[in-house]
Order: sequence, then C-alpha cells, then structure tokens
Amino acid sequence: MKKVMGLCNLHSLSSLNDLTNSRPIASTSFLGRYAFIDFPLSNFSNSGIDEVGILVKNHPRSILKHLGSTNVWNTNTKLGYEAIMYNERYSHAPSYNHDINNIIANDWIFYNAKPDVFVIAPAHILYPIDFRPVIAAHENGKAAITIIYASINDGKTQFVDGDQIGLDASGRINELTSNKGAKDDIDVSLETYIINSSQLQDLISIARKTSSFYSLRDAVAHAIGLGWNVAGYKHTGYVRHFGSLQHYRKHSLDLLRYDNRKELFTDVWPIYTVTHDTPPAKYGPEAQVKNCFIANGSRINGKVFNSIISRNVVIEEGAVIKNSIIFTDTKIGKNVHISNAVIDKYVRVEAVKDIAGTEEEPIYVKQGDRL
Amino acid sequence: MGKEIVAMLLAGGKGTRLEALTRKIAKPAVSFGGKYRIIDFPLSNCANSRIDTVGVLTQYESVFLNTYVGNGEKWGLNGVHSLTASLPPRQTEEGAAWYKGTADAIYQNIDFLDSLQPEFVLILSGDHIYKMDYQLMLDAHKANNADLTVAVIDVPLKEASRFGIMSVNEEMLITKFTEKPSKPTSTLASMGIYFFNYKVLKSALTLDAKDESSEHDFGKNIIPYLLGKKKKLLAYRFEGYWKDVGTLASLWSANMDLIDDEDALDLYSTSDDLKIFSEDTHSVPQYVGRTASVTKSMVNQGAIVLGTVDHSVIFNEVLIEEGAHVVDSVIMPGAVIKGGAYVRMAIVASDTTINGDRRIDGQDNIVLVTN
Repeated sequence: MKKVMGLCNLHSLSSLNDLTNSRPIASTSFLGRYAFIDFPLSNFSNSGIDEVGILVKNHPRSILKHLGSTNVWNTNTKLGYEAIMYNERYSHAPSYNHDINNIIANDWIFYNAKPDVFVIAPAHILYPIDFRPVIAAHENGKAAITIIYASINDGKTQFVDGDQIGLDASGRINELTSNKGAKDDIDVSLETYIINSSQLQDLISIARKTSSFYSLRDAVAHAIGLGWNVAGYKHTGYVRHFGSLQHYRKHSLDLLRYDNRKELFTDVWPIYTVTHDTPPAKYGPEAQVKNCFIANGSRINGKVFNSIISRNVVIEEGAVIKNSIIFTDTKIGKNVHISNAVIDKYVRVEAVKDIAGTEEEPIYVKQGDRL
Repeated sequence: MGKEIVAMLLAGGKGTRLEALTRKIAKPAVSFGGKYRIIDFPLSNCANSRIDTVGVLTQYESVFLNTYVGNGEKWGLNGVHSLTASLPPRQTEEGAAWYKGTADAIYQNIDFLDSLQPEFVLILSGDHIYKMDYQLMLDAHKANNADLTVAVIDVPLKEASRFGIMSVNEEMLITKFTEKPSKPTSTLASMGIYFFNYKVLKSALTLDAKDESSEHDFGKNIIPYLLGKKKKLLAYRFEGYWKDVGTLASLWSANMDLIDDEDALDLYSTSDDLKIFSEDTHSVPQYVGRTASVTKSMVNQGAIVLGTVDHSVIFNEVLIEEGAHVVDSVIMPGAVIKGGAYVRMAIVASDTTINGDRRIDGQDNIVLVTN
C-alpha cells in the first residue's frame, strides 16, 4: 500500500476582508460550529490519511488554538498527527512567504515522514471528497500531478481570482490561469494536487531555479508549460470558493437550504471538529426561530430568521435577527434589530438598536466591540 | 507515594424502575439533558474537583459502560497523573463472583485500591444529577478528623422513607443512620457520597466480607457497623441542586428542571471548571426550519426541528418533522417524530420512530415510548 501524507495548504491567499484580519480563513468560524480547516482535515481523516501537515502562512496563534492538543481527526493517536508547518524566517516577507519556501523549511516530510504520495488541499475551497479513488486514478494514469477540478456555470461571480484550467481532448490539463470573471462556464481548479514525493521535490527544484517568488501554484503552471503529464480529476457535487465577506455570508446562509446541506453533510462523511463541551441550545418563551443553524451553548429568547447563531451566543427578548451570522460568545441585547450582518466574537450589542447591511454589502462588526 | 484521593464510582445497577430505558444499558448510561448521560455528572464533578484517579465499578450491561468510560478522555481523566479504570467483576485465583452489594463491589477491588495506596477513598454513585466540589467535602472531613463523611441533603419528610436517613448532633456528627426508614425521624438524607479514610474502609470491608448474614451494602451494613464501633462519622451538608433520577417521573422532571430553573444546575456557566463534560457526537449543525416553532426548550446539535416543540428536551440526531407536535417531553437521540404525531408528557427512547397517526399523552404520569 502506498503511504499518503496530507498537506493542508493555507498559503493560497483568500481574504474575507475584515473577518480575516487577525485569523486565517482556516480557523474562521463556519456554520456556528466549525472552522474551515475542519473540512479538509475531515476529508483526509475519512479518506484514511492519518499523517497531515498544515502549511501555515500567518496567524499561527489562531490555528494552534483551534487544533489544540486534541486527536479529533486521527485514527491512530500515536501514528497519526497534524503537524504545524510554519516558516518563521519569511513570516514577515510577503513575497517569500509562500508554500514552496514553507515546504523547503519543513523538508522533514521528505526525509522522515517519507510518504509515496502527497495530497495537498486548501481550506478556503469547501467540498467533501474521498481522496482514495483520486489517488487510484492518479496512479493508474501515471500522472505527474493530478489536479482536482470542478465545472461551474457562474464563473463571472464565483472562483474569481481563483484558478481556471484548460483541458485537452484526452483529459490532460494544458493550461492553468487565473479566473478574471470573464465567462460563466469554466473549469476551476480546487487547488488540490495529488503528487508523488519525488515529483514534488522536482517541482520544488524547478521553482527554485526559476524564481524565488514562485508558489506551488506557479510551479505547477510552469510544469504544465514544460509538458508534464498533469491530469484532471473532476469533482461533482457540493463545492464553494470563499473569496470575500459577501461569499462567506452567502455560501454560509445557502447551506440552510436542504438540497445544499444534504450534499455537504452525509452520514458516511462526518465532519469532525473540536468539542467545547457546551450544553444544548436553549430557547426561551419568547423565542421565534425559523430557518437557522443554532449552535450549542446559545440561549435565544428573541426572533431569529435565516441566520446562523454560533456557540454561547445570547439573544435577548425583543431582539430581531435576519439574514445574519453571529459568532461565538456574542450577546445581542433587548430590542436590537440586526439584518444582513456578520457579527464577530465577544461582541455586545446593547446601545445601538439597529444594525442593517445589505445583501451586497453586509455589515461587519469587529471582535470584542461594544455597540 | 500513594494517591491522596481515589474515587470509586458505583455504576453496576440496572435501574429497574426506568423500565425499558435500561433494557440494553445500565442506569448510569441513560441519556439526560439533551446531550449527556447520567454518569457524566459524577465524572465531571471528579474532574472539576481535580480528582484524577477514578475506578468505575460496572456489572449490569457492562460492555457499553466500560466502552463509554474508556480511558476517561471525555472528562479529561486521561492525563499524565490520571487513571480511569473500568472495574467489572472478574475471575481471580479465589474464583469468580458477581458483586453482591455496594460494599462487596469495593471489597472485590481492594487490590486495585491497595496498588494506589490512597489516603482517602471517595465512594460515588452513578444515579444522581448534581454539581459538587468534592474537595470542599474533603476539607470538612479533614478539619473534623472524621473516619467517614457522608454527604447529606434535606429532603421533604414525605419523601424521606426513600433514602438513608440520619440524625446528627450539633457538631454534625452522625448519631443514627437508618436505610429507608418506614417512619423517618429526620429529613437529612444520604446522597450516597462517602469520604472514607482508606484504612477504616479497608478494615470494615474485610470484616463485612466474612459476615455471611451481611447484605454487603454501605447503607445497611457498613455505616451501622462503624457507628457501632464509635467511629467518627460526619455529615456534610450539601445545598445545591441534587436529584435522584431512578424513576421515569424523576428522570423526566430533572430534565424539565433544566428548562424551568436555569440556575439550579447552572449548565450555562462560562467558568470552565463548572462544565459538565460528555461525549462529542460529530453531529451536523442543529437546524430549525421555516415551519418550526421552538419555545421553552433545550435542543442539541444534530437535531432537525421542522415541527412544533414546546417545553421539551431534544437530543442529538432527533428529527421532528413538519406538523409534528412535541410538548412537555424528552426525546432521546436518533428518535423521529413524524408529521402529524402529537407527543405530550412522554420520554421517547433513543432511535424510536413515532408515526404520524399517533397521539401520545402521558397526562399525569410520564409515559415511556420505545420501538
């Protein structure tokens, strides 16, 4: 059996505006209960990949806090691990702080972990997938690199600034470019690469010889130009690219719809996350909740519609919340009205009685603010 | 060096009065409060009291309970100085025997206790819902130089005949102890929580084991014996919430207490060491639908509510369909209440399906519904 190591790549930049000022998207709250990184880590875990490295670009504090010392994702808690891979040297040199340099600084993965195959996956593109058939196809096709991709029909607004691919007639990838939102019907890279260990090392030496600023993605594009056998593996089913605060809010709230939920959450593909030992959510006599995700530990005595309420949130009577996402440990006081907003952690809204954004421009309230 | 405290949790009982709820699991494993099992309470109390060594004595349907207790990780009792051991009856050189009573269960594990050399042994039971700092009780035990300290709580006189009842002098020293008296003369009831000096415990258990007329029970035999020997028996008064959940009615009302009197157990305390720890279920987010109404209730992660829920406790993975009506009830994990069904004053056991044509109303009694 081939030995597989998973790398969760947090270098490919995805900013959710103010939401990711002090944390990477990987540890950003999602659906009131998860962090984004739970999804790639659960994909690895459910695919039987127990050895995982996390390529951290910035804000390691927030990642460490989420991962803690738990064994949430490992099958064997001695043999399995999630290793933090961080490149201290370049942490304040943006041009050099890329995944290639991170892997070079953490080259123990080649000499100690020594997997045959790497699966490299991001945290800002969300999709459930079993990597085992992808690895099998990668090996059967003797591909140098396999890129998982999806065909979308809304490329003008989705995956913008993400990677677009071109496929030749035999299914090989012959082009890797940036999606500038010109067309709707396009094939997009899920920034997920299956690559043998020796070929990853070759790719790194190509990158070093070509440009010190080359990221993994740049090196892959370069290798395609050199005529490497880069295969495409099409993913069908749920996939979303989180590229902005608007996307974050929309994609989150879209999961309230059953047909989306049932694609992401299935009995055979559990999503693991860290437990906080919070009690069940509590509803008061005045509570009125419709079409919402409600996380444990929250106490609700107001009206909440089409919204996501995270852990330990308190919503007092007379408060009305619509089309919004409220992060953990935030309190919404009596008679406060909130719509189309994203309210970060540890906020207290009591004095301000009306916070209204729009669908296009949701209002964001910073962590710890008092309103 | 020996351990200062070893806790021994008596978890072997069937709990016959819980009827079909304990058909396949022991009473301490019965679900409670939307996400917990009864045994989570004493084990979390141990953790929060900084007791790190716990033996769990199991007998009836021991496999599930042994597995659930595991290495104590759910309660953090698996740290470097910690030990959690499940102790079902076993075969030894002397032969094999079931636990013949609470005292015999401890006596059969004297070798386990000897190996740990405890100064004090804390005897607990897995039948009660309460939060308690056992260190405060030990402080009283030490300050009074007691041989045995019994935790006591005031109960209404009409209920006193269900408990071990004691009389005390002005120094709270126990002068009389009667197990389930027909004509109680005091309202101080034993909570089944004992702090023993280990030496006193060991010699009393060793003598009791040789007494063929003994029922090998702490309340009926060991405490009266120690009283007769003029040992120093202290009553330690506990003033918080405490509930025996040995019957369907008391199990139901303890669940309702969580809704009606939030301060009683203070489950929503933000202080870490007042949390009740439990199993994490890797559930999907709790979803409350467009057609739902949820008031005066507790609902756990993984539940999907599309119908009406009022004054009820809803566990993980429960589905309340559109048009279903649940009032004054406890719905245990995985149960499905189909559209059109009406459920009132009921406990619905785990994984039970209630069809849409059913109307269940326990009226003045609580009805248990199973598949």
